[in-house]
Amino acid sequence: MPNQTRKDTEIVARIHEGDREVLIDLYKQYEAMISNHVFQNSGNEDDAKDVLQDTLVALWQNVRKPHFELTVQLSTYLFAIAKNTWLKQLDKRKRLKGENYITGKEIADSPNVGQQMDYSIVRKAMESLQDKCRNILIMFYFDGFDMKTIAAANGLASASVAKAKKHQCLKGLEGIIKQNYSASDFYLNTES
Amino acid sequence: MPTMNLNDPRIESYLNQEMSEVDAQNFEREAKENPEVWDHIQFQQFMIQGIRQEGAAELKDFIANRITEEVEDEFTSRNIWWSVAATLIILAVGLGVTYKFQWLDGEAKSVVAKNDVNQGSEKSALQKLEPQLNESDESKSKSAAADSFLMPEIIADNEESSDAMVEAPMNDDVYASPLKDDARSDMGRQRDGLDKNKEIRSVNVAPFIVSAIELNSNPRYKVAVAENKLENSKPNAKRKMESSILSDTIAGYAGKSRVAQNAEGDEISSNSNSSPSFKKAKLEGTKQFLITLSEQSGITKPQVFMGGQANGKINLTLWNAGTSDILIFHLGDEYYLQLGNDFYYLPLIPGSTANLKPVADRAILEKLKQ
Repeated sequence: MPNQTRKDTEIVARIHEGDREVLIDLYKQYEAMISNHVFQNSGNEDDAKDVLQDTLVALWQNVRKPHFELTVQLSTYLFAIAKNTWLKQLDKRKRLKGENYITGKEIADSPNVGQQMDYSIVRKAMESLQDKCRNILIMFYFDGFDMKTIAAANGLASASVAKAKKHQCLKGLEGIIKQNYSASDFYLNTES
Repeated sequence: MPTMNLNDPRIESYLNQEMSEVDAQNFEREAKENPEVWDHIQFQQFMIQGIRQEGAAELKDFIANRITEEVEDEFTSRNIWWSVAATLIILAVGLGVTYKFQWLDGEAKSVVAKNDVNQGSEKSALQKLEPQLNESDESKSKSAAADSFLMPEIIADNEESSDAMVEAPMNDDVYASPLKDDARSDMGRQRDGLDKNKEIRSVNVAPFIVSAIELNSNPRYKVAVAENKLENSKPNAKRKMESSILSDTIAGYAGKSRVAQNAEGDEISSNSNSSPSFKKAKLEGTKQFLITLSEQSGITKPQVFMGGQANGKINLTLWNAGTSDILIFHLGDEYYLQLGNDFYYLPLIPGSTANLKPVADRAILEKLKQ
């Protein structure tokens, strides 16, 4: 096994284990490469930082998905994510400036155009949750940890207890949102 | 008839993306038939997406914070190293400067030591010349030989003003501090014989002027005191001469910051500043001596070298006089030297070196002790 592949495998393994520190190592390792790409494509230092962070978050989410398999070199994979992230960001900016127009097909393909969900409501509601509930929900839905790991990390007796707790927390979040927001608040008004 | 309700376990599987693509499509189709279930599923998906965004934002913050910490740590670490480097440089410079000064000081000491050795050599040479000088009556050459004991500055100073007293700095390296021994002034001490061949280890050149005290039948005589002190034998220890004039028949010099008084307590002169110069209080026809104190290592016996006369003063070098006060009395034609409690004949033979001979005459002693 080539040395680089072994390193990539180790990194993937660390992400599977939930070791967030590996992202810091990757940040330092690929900072120059990704920043250069952003700088060469109308980006500045802040853009480069954003792209780097978004790239690593995307890598984390992707690797932690079930059945993930790294078929190319990690550097290639990361660079592809970074390019895509920066491209989306540029596209969004052009749209905001009115330089890019959404085609009719894009409108048809995107069911939420004009009615994008405002997820900040959920994030605000999560602030009202207990820390343990918040952790359990993020660990399950974002990190994709199994119930056994969640139970261990949160001092719960077993995976089934963690599952019940997760269900309870989600119900609690639902209650907070419905209590504080109406259905019309869930959508961003993109027309204005 | 809707077949799905809110408690359907497949909803959880669908939301957790645990279904295959085909199963998920079939489930969606079925769920949409029940608006309540579909609304519930959509709301759940909305919350889950919000949770994921919150998780992503949290992870992004984690990365940003950790990178910031690392940069700060690196900056701090770099600062620490810079601080350490700067401190080391300052220390090195400080040490270098200190070393340089010490080296210069050492060089200065060497110069002083060399001067002292030169003086010692000169002394030895003079001592070798003594017999010749003794045989000769040429007082000018004797005077010149005596003057050669004095540092040029002192000579110059003395020439400039006979009232000035120059205190030469002493050096620990060359000053062997036998003068600290006050007991040396005791009568019963054992003294070594004069050894001219012994190396002169230290030479203190701190000449001061003492006027002889003329003793007569008048009991009111007293005193010109030359307090021969070496303060803790520090390198810069200075010899002080303090003259208190208690008799109008006696000439002397008031020491610095001291008030000279006559026997009735009237102030004659004063010098309140810290100038090393001495003011002449009164001089009435008695001899004045410019005394230089010197030490020989290994020798405790007091000796005297009588130099020539210069500027009206007889140059006198006292060897191994210790730290005792020095008085010179004039009784008739004889001159006597008091070192502490000891009294000696003071031979006034120019160009001669001699061991000081204790006064044995009881009558004279009593008179001197009065």
